[in-house]
Amino acid sequence: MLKKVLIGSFLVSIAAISAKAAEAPISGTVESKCTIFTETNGVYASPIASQLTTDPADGGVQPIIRFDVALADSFLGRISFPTSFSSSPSLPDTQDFSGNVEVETVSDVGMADYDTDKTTFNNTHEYDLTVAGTTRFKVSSEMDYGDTKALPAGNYTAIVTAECVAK
Amino acid sequence: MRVVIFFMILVFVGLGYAIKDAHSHEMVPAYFKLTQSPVVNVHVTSFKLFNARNDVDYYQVSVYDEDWNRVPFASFDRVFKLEHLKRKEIKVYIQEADISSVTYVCTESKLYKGKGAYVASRICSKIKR
Repeated sequence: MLKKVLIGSFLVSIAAISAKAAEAPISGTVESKCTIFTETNGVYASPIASQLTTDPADGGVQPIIRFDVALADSFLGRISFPTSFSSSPSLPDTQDFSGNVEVETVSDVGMADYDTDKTTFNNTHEYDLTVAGTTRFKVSSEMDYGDTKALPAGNYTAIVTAECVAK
Repeated sequence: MRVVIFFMILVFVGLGYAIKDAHSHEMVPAYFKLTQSPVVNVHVTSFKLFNARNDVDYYQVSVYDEDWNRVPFASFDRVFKLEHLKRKEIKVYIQEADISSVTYVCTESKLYKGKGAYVASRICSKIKR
Protein backbone atom coordinates (compact mmCIF):
# COMPACT_ATOMS: atom_id res chain seq x y z
CA MET A 1 0.00 0.00 0.00
CA LEU A 2 2.79 2.37 1.02
CA LYS A 3 4.64 1.49 -2.18
CA LYS A 4 1.55 2.41 -4.27
CA VAL A 5 1.18 5.75 -2.44
CA LEU A 6 4.85 6.57 -3.01
CA ILE A 7 4.67 5.73 -6.72
CA GLY A 8 1.43 7.69 -7.05
CA SER A 9 2.86 10.81 -5.38
CA PHE A 10 6.03 10.49 -7.51
CA LEU A 11 3.94 10.44 -10.72
CA VAL A 12 1.87 13.41 -9.52
CA SER A 13 5.01 15.46 -8.81
CA ILE A 14 6.46 14.61 -12.25
CA ALA A 15 3.20 15.73 -13.85
CA ALA A 16 3.30 18.98 -11.84
CA ILE A 17 6.88 19.70 -12.93
CA SER A 18 5.96 18.96 -16.56
CA ALA A 19 2.97 21.26 -16.33
CA LYS A 20 5.13 24.04 -14.91
CA ALA A 21 7.76 23.59 -17.63
CA ALA A 22 5.07 23.72 -20.29
CA GLU A 23 4.05 27.16 -19.04
CA ALA A 24 7.51 28.73 -19.43
CA PRO A 25 7.17 31.14 -22.36
CA ILE A 26 9.84 32.11 -24.84
CA SER A 27 9.24 35.54 -26.24
CA GLY A 28 11.19 37.71 -28.62
CA THR A 29 10.83 40.79 -30.74
CA VAL A 30 12.53 41.50 -34.03
CA GLU A 31 12.81 45.24 -34.31
CA SER A 32 13.02 47.13 -37.56
CA LYS A 33 16.75 47.66 -37.68
CA CYS A 34 19.86 47.67 -39.79
CA THR A 35 23.06 46.21 -38.41
CA ILE A 36 26.49 46.78 -39.92
CA PHE A 37 29.06 43.99 -39.53
CA THR A 38 32.70 44.57 -40.34
CA GLU A 39 33.61 41.02 -41.25
CA THR A 40 37.04 41.53 -42.80
CA ASN A 41 39.44 44.42 -42.55
CA GLY A 42 41.30 45.06 -45.78
CA VAL A 43 45.04 44.74 -46.36
CA TYR A 44 47.05 46.60 -48.96
CA ALA A 45 49.61 44.75 -51.04
CA SER A 46 52.31 46.45 -53.08
CA PRO A 47 52.75 44.57 -56.38
CA ILE A 48 54.92 47.40 -57.73
CA ALA A 49 56.85 50.07 -55.82
CA SER A 50 54.46 52.88 -56.72
CA GLN A 51 51.18 51.10 -56.04
CA LEU A 52 49.10 49.83 -53.13
CA THR A 53 46.11 47.63 -53.86
CA THR A 54 43.63 45.37 -52.09
CA ASP A 55 43.36 43.14 -55.19
CA PRO A 56 43.64 39.50 -54.02
CA ALA A 57 45.46 38.65 -57.27
CA ASP A 58 48.29 40.91 -56.07
CA GLY A 59 48.25 39.61 -52.51
CA GLY A 60 45.86 42.15 -51.01
CA VAL A 61 42.73 41.54 -48.95
CA GLN A 62 39.43 43.23 -49.75
CA PRO A 63 37.34 44.49 -46.84
CA ILE A 64 34.02 42.67 -46.48
CA ILE A 65 31.10 44.55 -44.93
CA ARG A 66 27.81 42.89 -44.11
CA PHE A 67 24.45 44.60 -43.79
CA ASP A 68 21.65 42.78 -41.95
CA VAL A 69 18.27 44.36 -42.55
CA ALA A 70 15.22 43.25 -40.55
CA LEU A 71 12.64 45.23 -42.53
CA ALA A 72 12.37 45.33 -46.33
CA ASP A 73 12.50 48.58 -48.29
CA SER A 74 13.35 50.70 -45.24
CA PHE A 75 17.08 51.36 -45.46
CA LEU A 76 19.77 52.68 -47.77
CA GLY A 77 23.24 51.19 -47.57
CA ARG A 78 26.09 53.54 -48.47
CA ILE A 79 29.66 52.39 -48.76
CA SER A 80 32.56 54.68 -49.63
CA PHE A 81 36.00 53.52 -50.67
CA PRO A 82 38.90 55.66 -49.43
CA THR A 83 40.19 58.70 -51.31
CA SER A 84 43.07 59.47 -48.96
CA PHE A 85 45.17 57.80 -46.29
CA SER A 86 44.18 58.35 -42.68
CA SER A 87 47.79 57.70 -41.74
CA SER A 88 50.90 57.26 -43.85
CA PRO A 89 54.47 58.46 -44.19
CA SER A 90 54.96 61.87 -45.77
CA LEU A 91 53.83 61.74 -49.41
CA PRO A 92 54.72 64.95 -51.25
CA ASP A 93 53.68 63.66 -54.70
CA THR A 94 50.21 63.11 -56.11
CA GLN A 95 48.12 60.20 -54.84
CA ASP A 96 45.68 58.75 -57.33
CA PHE A 97 43.03 56.76 -55.45
CA SER A 98 40.52 54.52 -57.16
CA GLY A 99 38.19 51.78 -55.96
CA ASN A 100 34.91 49.98 -56.27
CA VAL A 101 32.14 48.42 -54.19
CA GLU A 102 30.39 45.22 -55.26
CA VAL A 103 27.92 42.77 -53.80
CA GLU A 104 29.79 39.67 -52.61
CA THR A 105 26.98 37.38 -51.37
CA VAL A 106 23.25 37.72 -50.74
CA SER A 107 20.77 35.77 -48.61
CA ASP A 108 17.80 36.29 -50.90
CA VAL A 109 17.40 36.00 -54.66
CA GLY A 110 15.56 39.35 -54.63
CA MET A 111 18.91 41.05 -53.90
CA ALA A 112 20.40 39.87 -57.19
CA ASP A 113 19.92 43.27 -58.85
CA TYR A 114 21.50 45.33 -56.08
CA ASP A 115 24.66 45.96 -58.10
CA THR A 116 22.87 46.98 -61.29
CA ASP A 117 20.40 49.20 -59.41
CA LYS A 118 22.95 50.99 -57.23
CA THR A 119 23.63 54.71 -57.43
CA THR A 120 27.23 55.90 -57.56
CA PHE A 121 28.41 59.37 -56.73
CA ASN A 122 32.09 60.24 -56.30
CA ASN A 123 33.54 57.44 -54.19
CA THR A 124 30.20 56.43 -52.63
CA HIS A 125 28.04 53.53 -53.77
CA GLU A 126 24.44 53.67 -52.56
CA TYR A 127 22.28 50.55 -52.42
CA ASP A 128 18.53 50.55 -51.90
CA LEU A 129 18.09 47.63 -49.50
CA THR A 130 14.67 46.56 -50.74
CA VAL A 131 14.75 43.01 -49.38
CA ALA A 132 15.07 41.93 -45.76
CA GLY A 133 18.07 39.72 -45.08
CA THR A 134 21.85 39.70 -45.29
CA THR A 135 24.04 41.29 -47.96
CA ARG A 136 27.81 41.18 -48.02
CA PHE A 137 29.73 43.84 -49.92
CA LYS A 138 33.38 43.75 -50.94
CA VAL A 139 35.36 46.94 -51.32
CA SER A 140 38.40 47.36 -53.52
CA SER A 141 40.90 50.17 -53.19
CA GLU A 142 44.00 51.11 -55.16
CA MET A 143 46.47 53.99 -54.90
CA ASP A 144 49.02 54.92 -57.53
CA TYR A 145 51.70 57.26 -56.31
CA GLY A 146 53.19 60.17 -58.26
CA ASP A 147 54.65 59.49 -61.68
CA THR A 148 55.38 55.84 -60.85
CA LYS A 149 57.54 56.93 -57.92
CA ALA A 150 58.41 54.43 -55.21
CA LEU A 151 56.30 54.70 -52.07
CA PRO A 152 58.33 55.44 -48.91
CA ALA A 153 58.49 52.66 -46.34
CA GLY A 154 56.00 52.83 -43.47
CA ASN A 155 52.46 51.99 -42.43
CA TYR A 156 49.58 53.04 -44.63
CA THR A 157 46.00 53.16 -43.37
CA ALA A 158 42.86 54.12 -45.27
CA ILE A 159 39.29 54.07 -43.99
CA VAL A 160 36.24 52.57 -45.68
CA THR A 161 32.95 54.10 -44.54
CA ALA A 162 29.81 51.97 -44.26
CA GLU A 163 26.53 53.70 -43.56
CA CYS A 164 22.98 52.46 -43.09
CA VAL A 165 20.30 55.15 -43.28
CA ALA A 166 16.60 54.70 -42.58
CA LYS A 167 14.48 55.79 -45.56
CA MET B 1 27.52 11.15 -19.92
CA ARG B 2 30.96 11.84 -21.38
CA VAL B 3 29.39 12.34 -24.79
CA VAL B 4 26.94 14.90 -23.35
CA ILE B 5 29.78 16.80 -21.63
CA PHE B 6 31.81 16.71 -24.85
CA PHE B 7 28.92 18.20 -26.84
CA MET B 8 28.29 20.85 -24.16
CA ILE B 9 31.95 21.88 -24.38
CA LEU B 10 31.67 22.02 -28.17
CA VAL B 11 28.57 24.25 -27.92
CA PHE B 12 30.25 26.63 -25.44
CA VAL B 13 33.45 26.84 -27.50
CA GLY B 14 31.40 27.47 -30.66
CA LEU B 15 29.36 30.16 -28.91
CA GLY B 16 32.56 31.77 -27.67
CA TYR B 17 33.98 31.91 -31.18
CA ALA B 18 30.69 33.28 -32.54
CA ILE B 19 30.74 36.13 -30.01
CA LYS B 20 34.45 36.74 -30.56
CA ASP B 21 33.99 36.93 -34.33
CA ALA B 22 30.98 39.22 -34.26
CA HIS B 23 31.91 42.79 -35.24
CA SER B 24 28.68 44.67 -35.48
CA HIS B 25 27.27 48.10 -34.79
CA GLU B 26 23.57 48.09 -33.98
CA MET B 27 21.16 50.91 -33.16
CA VAL B 28 17.40 50.90 -32.50
CA PRO B 29 14.85 52.20 -33.17
CA ALA B 30 15.21 52.82 -36.89
CA TYR B 31 12.37 55.33 -36.74
CA PHE B 32 12.13 57.62 -33.72
CA LYS B 33 9.65 60.07 -32.22
CA LEU B 34 10.36 63.19 -30.23
CA THR B 35 8.48 63.65 -26.97
CA GLN B 36 8.31 66.52 -24.53
CA SER B 37 11.16 66.42 -22.03
CA PRO B 38 10.86 67.63 -18.41
CA VAL B 39 12.48 70.88 -19.60
CA VAL B 40 10.18 73.46 -21.21
CA ASN B 41 10.64 73.87 -25.00
CA VAL B 42 12.97 70.90 -25.18
CA HIS B 43 12.05 67.56 -26.74
CA VAL B 44 13.80 64.25 -26.25
CA THR B 45 14.25 60.90 -27.94
CA SER B 46 16.27 57.87 -26.95
CA PHE B 47 18.18 55.11 -28.71
CA LYS B 48 19.73 51.83 -27.73
CA LEU B 49 23.14 51.01 -29.07
CA PHE B 50 24.93 47.66 -29.02
CA ASN B 51 28.64 47.49 -29.71
CA ALA B 52 29.83 44.11 -30.96
CA ARG B 53 32.87 45.62 -32.67
CA ASN B 54 35.95 44.64 -30.72
CA ASP B 55 37.98 47.22 -32.65
CA VAL B 56 35.80 50.18 -31.58
CA ASP B 57 35.37 51.66 -28.09
CA TYR B 58 33.87 55.08 -28.82
CA TYR B 59 30.86 56.32 -30.74
CA GLN B 60 29.66 59.80 -31.66
CA VAL B 61 26.09 61.07 -31.97
CA SER B 62 25.07 63.61 -34.60
CA VAL B 63 21.77 65.10 -35.75
CA TYR B 64 20.97 66.20 -39.30
CA ASP B 65 18.17 67.79 -41.26
CA GLU B 66 16.73 66.47 -44.53
CA ASP B 67 19.67 67.85 -46.54
CA TRP B 68 22.27 66.47 -44.14
CA ASN B 69 23.04 69.84 -42.54
CA ARG B 70 23.89 69.56 -38.86
CA VAL B 71 21.15 70.42 -36.35
CA PRO B 72 22.07 71.60 -32.83
CA PHE B 73 21.28 69.14 -30.06
CA ALA B 74 22.25 68.30 -26.51
CA SER B 75 23.20 64.95 -25.05
CA PHE B 76 25.17 63.61 -22.13
CA ASP B 77 26.63 61.14 -24.61
CA ARG B 78 27.72 63.24 -27.59
CA VAL B 79 30.92 61.17 -27.75
CA PHE B 80 30.78 58.20 -25.45
CA LYS B 81 32.62 55.05 -24.54
CA LEU B 82 30.87 51.77 -25.20
CA GLU B 83 32.94 48.68 -24.55
CA HIS B 84 32.79 45.53 -26.62
CA LEU B 85 29.51 43.58 -26.23
CA LYS B 86 27.94 46.31 -24.06
CA ARG B 87 24.65 48.11 -24.57
CA LYS B 88 23.85 51.72 -23.83
CA GLU B 89 20.79 53.93 -23.97
CA ILE B 90 21.47 57.42 -25.24
CA LYS B 91 19.13 60.38 -25.00
CA VAL B 92 19.15 63.23 -27.51
CA TYR B 93 17.57 66.57 -26.59
CA ILE B 94 16.40 69.01 -29.24
CA GLN B 95 14.99 72.49 -28.71
CA GLU B 96 11.51 73.18 -29.97
CA ALA B 97 12.69 75.63 -32.63
CA ASP B 98 14.64 72.85 -34.39
CA ILE B 99 12.03 70.10 -34.25
CA SER B 100 10.67 70.78 -37.74
CA SER B 101 14.11 70.41 -39.31
CA VAL B 102 15.31 67.31 -37.45
CA THR B 103 15.32 64.30 -39.78
CA TYR B 104 18.19 61.95 -38.92
CA VAL B 105 19.99 60.97 -35.73
CA CYS B 106 23.17 59.02 -36.39
CA THR B 107 25.78 57.16 -34.38
CA GLU B 108 29.22 56.77 -35.87
CA SER B 109 32.14 54.64 -34.76
CA LYS B 110 35.31 56.46 -33.78
CA LEU B 111 38.45 54.68 -34.88
CA TYR B 112 41.76 54.66 -33.07
CA LYS B 113 44.70 55.58 -35.24
CA GLY B 114 46.84 52.50 -35.62
CA LYS B 115 44.53 50.10 -33.75
CA GLY B 116 43.73 48.09 -36.85
CA ALA B 117 40.17 49.31 -37.50
CA TYR B 118 39.77 50.30 -41.13
CA VAL B 119 35.99 50.41 -41.53
CA ALA B 120 33.99 53.28 -40.07
CA SER B 121 30.34 52.39 -39.49
CA ARG B 122 27.46 54.83 -39.24
CA ILE B 123 23.79 54.05 -38.59
CA CYS B 124 21.13 56.73 -39.00
CA SER B 125 17.58 56.60 -37.67
CA LYS B 126 14.87 58.72 -39.24
CA ILE B 127 12.16 60.73 -37.51
CA LYS B 128 8.63 59.36 -37.68
CA ARG B 129 6.28 62.30 -38.20
